[in-house]
Amino acid sequence: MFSFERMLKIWTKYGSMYWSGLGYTLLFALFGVLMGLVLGLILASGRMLRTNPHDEVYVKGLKWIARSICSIYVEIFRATPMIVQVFVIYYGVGNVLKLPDPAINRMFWGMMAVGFNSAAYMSEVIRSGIGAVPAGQMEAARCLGMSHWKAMSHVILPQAIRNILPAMCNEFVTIIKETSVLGMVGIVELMFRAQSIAKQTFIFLEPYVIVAIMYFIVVFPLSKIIAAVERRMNKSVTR
Amino acid sequence: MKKITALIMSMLMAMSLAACGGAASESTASGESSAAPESSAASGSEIKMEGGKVEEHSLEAIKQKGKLVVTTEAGYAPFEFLDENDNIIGLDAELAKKLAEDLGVELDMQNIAFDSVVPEVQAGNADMAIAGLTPDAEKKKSVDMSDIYYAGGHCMLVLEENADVYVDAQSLKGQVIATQKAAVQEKMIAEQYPDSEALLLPDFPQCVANLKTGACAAVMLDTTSAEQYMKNIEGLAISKAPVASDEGEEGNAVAVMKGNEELLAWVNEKISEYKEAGLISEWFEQAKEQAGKMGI
Repeated sequence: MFSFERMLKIWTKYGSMYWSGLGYTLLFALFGVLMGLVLGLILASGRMLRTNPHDEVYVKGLKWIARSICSIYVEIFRATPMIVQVFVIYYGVGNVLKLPDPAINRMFWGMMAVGFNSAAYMSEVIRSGIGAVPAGQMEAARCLGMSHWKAMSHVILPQAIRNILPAMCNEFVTIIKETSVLGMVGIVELMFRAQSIAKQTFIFLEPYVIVAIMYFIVVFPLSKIIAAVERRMNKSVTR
Repeated sequence: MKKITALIMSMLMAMSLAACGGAASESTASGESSAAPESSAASGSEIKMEGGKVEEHSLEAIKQKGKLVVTTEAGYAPFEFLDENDNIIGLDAELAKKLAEDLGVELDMQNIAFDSVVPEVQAGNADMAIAGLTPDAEKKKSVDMSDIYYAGGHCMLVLEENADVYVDAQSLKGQVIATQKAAVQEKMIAEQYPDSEALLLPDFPQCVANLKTGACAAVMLDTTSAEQYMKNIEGLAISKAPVASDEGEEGNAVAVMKGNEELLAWVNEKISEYKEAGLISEWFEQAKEQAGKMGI
């Protein structure tokens, strides 16, 4: 049964291992979200490509292909569990495009898997954020004589960011928790640390309770900050 | 309807794109003999993808790299386990250290999941695996196994109060026997205890934890670590239930990539050298002593 005393003993003996695991977890999450943001922007713009009636036929075709590829990518990554993606990417791609050091190889492709996964969700966040801006805004801007791009950058995107930012931070929070599956392929993050500590001590409850507390301490303030930012951003538009 | 056709079209497009990619890589793989039948070229490139190259793991290549990469799963006291500073210690770790030292290179020991230990050697991500591996026929199909450096049998670990209850296959009928996933014991349970249910877990410590909570009746593991568990955890006993292993499959050996004969011969030579010098038993005693200090 759970014993607080045992938990303290584990913490005093293995605290440093937990800390380094947490460091890697945050590193993976941060990298994953940054990569997801860049890739997600590309994917979102790909998915939002619209054909104009006066486009040449080949332009229409190219736009259609780009849109299809982006949609397929997003749908595949959203319809499969992250743990499966990690295994397929690490043992599939990571085995062909190999980096010289095995530990670095493992970490790199682990990071990539997180990034690829995050990109799919991020692109949807961006796309829906832009989509949530009323269509009348675009129409009004065009009526004032703005070009499509100018209307986008001066009218639509500033409003869309208000929708996107909080959802993006939520994605970061989700990714912090999801990186725990990376331990399955031998990447030394927080959950992997807890597993090896459990193996060493033959205690299988307290090491994981410690991990739960650590995740909570990191994630809870983050989500509170996000909520505060959200409120602050909505202040200017709510009456 | 329009959307559905669009979806199907896009899928077809993606597939044809993938096919194009495949064709491109085939032509590069087959090089000048572009007239080779498509199917053979495809299967050829597949084999290359699956395994690593032996040349990259020869003695010469390891010396050139300057480090010996060894995979293990550090949850198997006293063979390999972690100390509180996260160093891998134990008999196998000492063996790996000495092998690297004799090669004049650094040791890079990778602590990963047990079912990945052998595949990583196959894939060419590591030079060898030292993880208390039993050289059974199954494993020999995918990797080459060295001579045995530590011989030990297997046994059935049970709760102390059940030591006289579970004494043979009959008494364990319908009961759950736990062991490590992908370990040699997985096969042994199926063969020797076909009427019992096998519970496969990622590592032995979890098996023992399940034994303590009553989720399984027994744990099949090697006698040495069973004795270690009995020392570290109260209330465990080795039952009389017999566990037989095949000739030449009792004990631990080093795994190297299939066909890496040069490295295998060198490892075998070193193992017999260490055995003669009494190093293996010395490491073993030291590892048992270290393992005794484990736990909280």
